[in-house]
Amino acid sequence: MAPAAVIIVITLLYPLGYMVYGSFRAWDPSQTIGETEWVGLRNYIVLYGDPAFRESMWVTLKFAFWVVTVEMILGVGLALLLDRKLRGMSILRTLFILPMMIAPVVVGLMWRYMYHPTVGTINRWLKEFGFSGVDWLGQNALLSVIIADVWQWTPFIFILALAALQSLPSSAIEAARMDGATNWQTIWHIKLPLMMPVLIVTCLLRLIDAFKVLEVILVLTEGGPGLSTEILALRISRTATEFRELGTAAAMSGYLMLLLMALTAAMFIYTKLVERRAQRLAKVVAEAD
Amino acid sequence: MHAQDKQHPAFYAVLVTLVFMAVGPICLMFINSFKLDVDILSGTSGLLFMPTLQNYETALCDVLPYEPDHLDYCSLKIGGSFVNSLIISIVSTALTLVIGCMAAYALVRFKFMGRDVASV
Repeated sequence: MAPAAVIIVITLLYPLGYMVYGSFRAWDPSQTIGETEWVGLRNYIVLYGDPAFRESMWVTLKFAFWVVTVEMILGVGLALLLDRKLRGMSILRTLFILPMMIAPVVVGLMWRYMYHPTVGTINRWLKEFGFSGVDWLGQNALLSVIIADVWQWTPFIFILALAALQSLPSSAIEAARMDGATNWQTIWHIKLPLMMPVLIVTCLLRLIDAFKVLEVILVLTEGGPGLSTEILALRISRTATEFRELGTAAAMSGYLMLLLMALTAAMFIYTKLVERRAQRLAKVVAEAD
Repeated sequence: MHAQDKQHPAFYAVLVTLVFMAVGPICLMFINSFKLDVDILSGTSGLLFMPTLQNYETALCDVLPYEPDHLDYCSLKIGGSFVNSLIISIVSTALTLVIGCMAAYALVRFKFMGRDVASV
């Protein structure tokens, strides 16, 4: 017990406790945490009324919502499309998960090159087909950042959805086919409901990750024109390093932690419900014999 | 599910488009790495250019056995960076494996309060 407790305290509780402790104090970077004075919830209350923080939170929520929605739709759609016996399936799968394997900084730099207004790839192609170039990193900065993140993380959803799809009982699908269901009906009424547990856990995992994105946005727009793409992680890092308000940064981290804890609790409750329902079903089946 | 050997041609078209979108930017970067700066920024060369290894020589300048002649001095330290990345990944993987295996054994073998919470 003792070694495990020591490891948990060192790697988990101490940094967390340090941050929560620091968020309740007025903390100038020239002080160590012992010299700071207690201000209670002042950091949290000031942040609640701070328009820049609210804007940052709103941008983060918008970003996370759109990224997860688009990735889930594209990932599950791709999995449904590719769930058939093709000859080059393993090569195809490797090619499709390649974007996930690249470091986020490199993804950011890659898309930064492609989004350049004059020599960038996308605008050059648009101009070739007669359209005028789009101001990707200026006016449509949030859209550009969402596209870059969708490009990188859709393979994650695709792989998990494909695994769930291939583990479905083929008897159910064959029965549906024999009853004369069309492809769409099979997908909507049989495949998706059976995949739902895996899909929901995947969605929650990706949602938790989407709140922590930093490198792609930092490299692409550095917070965007003004504050339009400054997500929470970027704002926290900027507050701590540029503005040098460590107590406020710790309070922002506290807010983010509460949000992520709520999401994790939701995931935990959902898996408990699924488990309980499976146990009840198993009991009913056992009693019916 | 019955195996279908022949797919609809539209399916193959969609597949090619998807592969292109997934792998395209990576190939673009790879091809760009063999171009000179002026070829990349001029925006007109595409696939017709003179490939060069200058960028690789600039990037790997402190692990090369020879001195590249287009470079006056070398300010990068990619050898050191690579060794740092290697150390971080090896040590963190090893530590995570060790701690994770011990935790998994404890979660499976012993019954204690909070076991269900931790095994989510």
